[in-house]
Amino acid sequence: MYPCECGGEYRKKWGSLEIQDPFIGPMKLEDVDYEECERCRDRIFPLETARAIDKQREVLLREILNKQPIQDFFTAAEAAAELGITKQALHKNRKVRRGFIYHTTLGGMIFYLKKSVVLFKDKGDGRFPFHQPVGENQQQVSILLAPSYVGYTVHEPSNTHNLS
Amino acid sequence: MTQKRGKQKTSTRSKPFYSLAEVKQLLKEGNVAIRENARNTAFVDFGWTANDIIAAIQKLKVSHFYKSEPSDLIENCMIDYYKAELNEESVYMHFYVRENRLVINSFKRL
Repeated sequence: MYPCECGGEYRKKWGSLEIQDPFIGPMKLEDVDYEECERCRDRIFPLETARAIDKQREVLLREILNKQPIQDFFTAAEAAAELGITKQALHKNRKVRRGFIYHTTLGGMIFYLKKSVVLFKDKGDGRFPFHQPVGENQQQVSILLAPSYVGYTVHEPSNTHNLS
Repeated sequence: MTQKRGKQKTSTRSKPFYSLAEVKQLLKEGNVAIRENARNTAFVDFGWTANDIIAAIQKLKVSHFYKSEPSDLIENCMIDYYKAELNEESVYMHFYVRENRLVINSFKRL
């Protein structure tokens, strides 16, 4: 048992793990090790579990992006033009390579999500949360992702299309 | 590596409490754990995964050391703090070793 900063103690656990990814939203992993503070619920992940979470996030993000209509994406040339840089500079950009612009690959070509490109141009980070917990006046979608996502909404409250 | 390495000072130390060689050995052996919050900030701030965090710590040098302090909240626990330019990012991190395992407590933009 590890002491936690809250004064509680981390207890070893194995099994189902639900985490809230800052961009993907809730994710669920099965059969993983982790430690959780019984008092404040803070968690520590062994390396293998942390890697499993990263992999799961990558898979879910790819699934989400692959379900977006093609007209929502820029080609590399269009994205570069939007950002006012060359295609080469786009491909070499450290942040872009790190996923700060959502992109997907199709037929060996990279396509960049338009909304993400515009956000990146404005703020230097084109990532945005795909989901947020259901609040009042927001439309539920049952959607896009895994069953664990039922009960969450598309981020933009103004969206009137059911994506399921 | 354990906490039983002589009497701990109660104030800030000017040298790392945990030797980087030992820390890197623990990383190599996979004896490492990452706090959920550290994982999230590494991803939000840098787009880094767990593997990127490990790779970054492997690049740490003693010159990156910032301070070492006893944890205010965890009894008998020294925490080493580092500030470093790694992979073109300004990184602030702190970690400790407990029961022969490196626990990465915090990992974020400086």
